[in-house]
Amino acid sequence: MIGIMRSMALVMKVALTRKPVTIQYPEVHREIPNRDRAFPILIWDEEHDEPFCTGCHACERACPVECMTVVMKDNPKHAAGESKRRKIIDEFWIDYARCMRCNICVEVCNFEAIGMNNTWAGHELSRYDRKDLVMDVEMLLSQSKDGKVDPGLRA
Amino acid sequence: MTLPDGQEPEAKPEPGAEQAADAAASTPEAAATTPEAAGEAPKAEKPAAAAKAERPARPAKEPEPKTAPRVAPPAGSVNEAVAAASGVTLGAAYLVPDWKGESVAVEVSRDDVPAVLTACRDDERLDMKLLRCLSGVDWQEEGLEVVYHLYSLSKKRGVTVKTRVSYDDANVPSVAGVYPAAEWHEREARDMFGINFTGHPDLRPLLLPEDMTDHFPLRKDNPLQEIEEWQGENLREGAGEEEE
Amino acid sequence: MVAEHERSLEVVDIPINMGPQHPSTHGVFRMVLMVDGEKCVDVIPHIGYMHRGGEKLMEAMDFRQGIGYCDRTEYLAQFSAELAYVMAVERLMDVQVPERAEYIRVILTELNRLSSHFMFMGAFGIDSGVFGTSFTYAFPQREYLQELFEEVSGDRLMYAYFRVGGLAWEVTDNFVQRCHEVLKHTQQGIRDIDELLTKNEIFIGRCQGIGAFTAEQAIANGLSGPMLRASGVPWDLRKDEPYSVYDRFNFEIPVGNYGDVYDRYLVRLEEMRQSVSIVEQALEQLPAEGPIVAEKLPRRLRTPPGEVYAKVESPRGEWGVYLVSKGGDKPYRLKMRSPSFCNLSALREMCLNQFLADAVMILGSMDIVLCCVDR
Repeated sequence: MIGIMRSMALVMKVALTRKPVTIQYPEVHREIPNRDRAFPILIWDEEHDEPFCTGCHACERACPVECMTVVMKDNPKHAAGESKRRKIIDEFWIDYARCMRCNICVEVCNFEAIGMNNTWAGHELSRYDRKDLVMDVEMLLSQSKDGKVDPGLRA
Repeated sequence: MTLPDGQEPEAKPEPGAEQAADAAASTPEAAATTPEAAGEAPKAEKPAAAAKAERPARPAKEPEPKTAPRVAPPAGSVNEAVAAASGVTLGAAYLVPDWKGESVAVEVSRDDVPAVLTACRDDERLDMKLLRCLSGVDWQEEGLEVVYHLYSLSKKRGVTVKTRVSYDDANVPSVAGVYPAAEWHEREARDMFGINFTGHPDLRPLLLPEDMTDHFPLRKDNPLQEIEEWQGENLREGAGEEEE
Repeated sequence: MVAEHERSLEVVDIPINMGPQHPSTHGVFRMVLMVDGEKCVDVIPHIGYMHRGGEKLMEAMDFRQGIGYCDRTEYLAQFSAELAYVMAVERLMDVQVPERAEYIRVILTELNRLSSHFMFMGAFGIDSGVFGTSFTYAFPQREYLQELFEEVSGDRLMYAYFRVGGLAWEVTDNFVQRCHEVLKHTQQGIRDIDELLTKNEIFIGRCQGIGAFTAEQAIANGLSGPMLRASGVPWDLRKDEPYSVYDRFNFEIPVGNYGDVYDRYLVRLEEMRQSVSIVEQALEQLPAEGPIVAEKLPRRLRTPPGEVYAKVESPRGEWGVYLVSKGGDKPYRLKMRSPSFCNLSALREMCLNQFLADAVMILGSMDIVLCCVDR
């Protein structure tokens, strides 16, 4: 009987003293740490006004779940002498439905061209169709282009 | 470690590539296309074909051995006690790496498995009351292997018992009567490798569907299915549409 | 021949199906209980609903890619599962892990044990009829731990933070301070749970004397972890086969006397206190600076041929990884010896001649993770 009383006293104490830890999620967003790993995105090179990615296929090969497809092309800006990159990505798909957010693509990238999104936009990606989760190069670059993510991320 | 001398298991990264990016973060293929410093592009854009042509030019490596060299355990090791306790002629005994140091693995013929394991459990010098793990391994041409990891809580030492059977005659006497812990492990090994444990009380499929008794997923002759991709060409052609 | 009047009194065992979608099975687990009145006379567990062929998948993944899969197998003790896997590869490759990395691994693994046991305390309370109360006490504290893991590794659940030879990246600058903060909450949480459940007569009445296993039975059935220690066997891999840097810490192994459900709860509760102590010691000894990844690691991890059985003490028991390599960058065969699987195999024997309602408690006391049972 004493044990039950003590339990109830604890419940009473906590009910009176503890502040709620819940937040009203869709309206209020929890602050997420800088290292947060959402889904991989491509990083935009502001200096040369082109993506960092040269399409070297390193991430595609290292991906455990084969969620990426990379297509490389000759960089037109290199011919014009505006950029040092001889090759650049033509197409890039990442299937967010399959990605397991393991960060390996970021680790193998030699150009720091891919990073894990660390904003809430990287998490709130619900779609009605799985195929809509296959992101193409514009979608992958848009976050970084708009300056919404910290380009430093965790390279 | 039981490595042969002079064996270099790792692929040597090219000297220039070593500075670039993370040391542990790239495939050799990526290393071949890596410039001296990440970010400076010029050398990176080597066509892939050229990079491929370069690779065979590396110093020829000795072909890697496919099996670990076997080092016989020193005298007085646990395998002698096992042989003495069970009265069974054991097969090869050798050291396998264990966490800090080595432990002993012994090979026995399949008919001797219950006798050896019973001796391991009951003999006072061995006192291996705990069956840690029972695994099946598919060695392809060399048949199927069942590996028993035994451990003695009082003596703080273990032994690995192995037995091999052929594909056509994949019968191993069950040890569920010796170690009740083996019951589910054996059912799992039957599911995955098709090893028939004779004398097992209840050899129904455990992890697989009840009617899936003719197909053994973990055998090497069952390759993984190709991943269906909704990317690149597939996406453009609208492949996969017919599914709906 | 049975006489007519006897036939009218004939007793039939009734099969009762429980699961696969049942809140008390902690996942997709189904068991068929044959009951004679209120007593279980037979239990037929059905597992495999979550079988994803993880071992096969990991045979096709190289040694770095496989780490992500460990998380997904043991999703309440991810660091333990990762640690066993990287330890197996490190042992085969003969890699020396830097000291700082070892300490951080130990700290995170122990904090992970705490978070896993908080999960147990919450869920076990629900099983025992305390309903949401214990859950709401255990989970906020678990949340602090999760936040710490998220800050360090970047993900709330699938950390993928350990690497062969060390860690993926350096911990946050205020890691030590944050750990101390979290430990304060954790200790508060342990006190709350203790106050709420340990002496509670209803809880005791529900737990004591149920599903008791003697030491011999427990060993024969291959139990490990808190399940085994509750039966009075002081076997803990952290003490008996110290891996990583566990031999440098001072801690006790709690053991139970009766091996029943209540003892398992007590053992886990005491283990949490010991974990707090280990983390505190590790934080004190943690080298302030140093590498976190072994030097001279090849870019492509390749092991020499061989085999190794690496094991760690996960919150549920001995998590073993039997890794067979034929050389090359992928495992030839990888067997995960999951403690949940081995503990669950004793369910039948534990439930025999127990009341139907207690079967739920026995299952709850095993603290199984179904992903780890089915792999």
